Amino acid sequence: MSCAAPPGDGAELPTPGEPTPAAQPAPVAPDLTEVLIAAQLGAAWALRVLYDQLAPKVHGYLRARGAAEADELTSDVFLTVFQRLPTLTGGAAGLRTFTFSVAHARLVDSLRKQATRPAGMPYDPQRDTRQSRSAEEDAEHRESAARATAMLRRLPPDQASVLSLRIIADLSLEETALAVGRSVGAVKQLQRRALIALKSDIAGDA
Amino acid sequence: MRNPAPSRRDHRGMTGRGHADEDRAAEALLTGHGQAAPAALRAAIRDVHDLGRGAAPAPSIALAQLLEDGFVVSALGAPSPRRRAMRRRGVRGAVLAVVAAGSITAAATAANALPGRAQQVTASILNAVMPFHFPGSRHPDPARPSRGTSPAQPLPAPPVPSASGTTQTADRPDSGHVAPVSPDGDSPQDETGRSAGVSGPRSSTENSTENRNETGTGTGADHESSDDRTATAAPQPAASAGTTSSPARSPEPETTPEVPATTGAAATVSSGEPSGNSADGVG
Repeated sequence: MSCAAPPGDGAELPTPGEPTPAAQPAPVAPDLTEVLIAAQLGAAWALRVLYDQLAPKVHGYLRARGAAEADELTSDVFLTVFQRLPTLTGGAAGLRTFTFSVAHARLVDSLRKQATRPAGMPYDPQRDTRQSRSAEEDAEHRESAARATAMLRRLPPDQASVLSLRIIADLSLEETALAVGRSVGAVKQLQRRALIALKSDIAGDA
Repeated sequence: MRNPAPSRRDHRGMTGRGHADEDRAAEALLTGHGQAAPAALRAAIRDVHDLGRGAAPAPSIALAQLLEDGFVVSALGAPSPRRRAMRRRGVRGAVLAVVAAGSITAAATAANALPGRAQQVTASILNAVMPFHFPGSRHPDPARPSRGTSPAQPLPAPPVPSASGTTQTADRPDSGHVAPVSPDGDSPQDETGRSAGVSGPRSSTENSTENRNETGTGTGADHESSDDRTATAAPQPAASAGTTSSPARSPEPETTPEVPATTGAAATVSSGEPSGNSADGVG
């Protein structure tokens, strides 16, 4: 396949997770744009780079919102995204918005299915052995993840979705509004209420 | 789930100031720059943020296959299956419409139900391409006159015995000739006042007399059989009556009636040809 060559070893791909200033949409690294062009032509290496870039955030969003099978859902989301990749417009920012739109839709479906199924076992960090970190890191990460997940679950679903997309997926207000199918004003209101509820929750715990 | 209505505490907000300030403070907090926010809240935000860090989960089998092989872009320009199905349906509908229209036209032609000119054209086309015979306005069905003919057309004359003893009819539809019909429905008249058409009211005496004189006139192929003796010959001018014209010359009733009686003789004199070709010389 005559696609663009993969970036060399020196090519720096954007590090996921770093918070960005709020007034402007999350910056998109030019490398990711080039990778996206190659991915739209079907290059396997580009698909892999996109997956490695976006999958942790999608997975984190799904976990934060309480999806029972976050791994499967993540794969499902990317299968859908990659199938639609050749017709995708909007560059890397459009790809991120579209990816989290699909993730949100899959999550809503999954949560509905979960509601009709009998309740499973609650999440037990001690039994989750999927991570391959050191024991100390593992414990620390699991503890913070459990804390965050529990905190988000105490919020109403809309507020939890908006907060997760803003924090985990680094989406801007506009991108979040597109992903959840709301107006920007509604997203602003939801995020404000979510932060107030979070604050009062923390104060109540203390 | 519907969001709960904001309580009084909500209006106080995080900072106790207006919504614009709150939005700014929330944006700063969410993006990791909210130094004014309580430390516990910042830590909680950091915990949530850490949920998106870490390694990508193991892909499913189908996704792993896709990540391994990529995909072929050749299907990019191809129409979607839905559009392909729509196009196929459209083509099928168009073919059905054409077939239906053709069948209806053929049926109408077979029933001699089309208007005169359309019937003529369609019948000639169908007769050429199909092994069946379709009635056309050139060959009108005697039992049913086509729409283009005059309603005042008289019925065929009854057979009358001629002087030679043969039975002759004034009108033979199978003779291959159709009386030229003027727009008002009348047959054109020659200068003697007789009808030039096959269906014109003519006396049997005139027919038999004229037929004896006009043996061999007419349009060749149509007069090869015993129909030669029918009174279907083209009208001849008085000067050329009784002469033999060229068999290849088709009768043209719109030109022959205008020939004056003396023109044929004058032409014969001027050209020096025998009087038998005088009509040709004029026409």
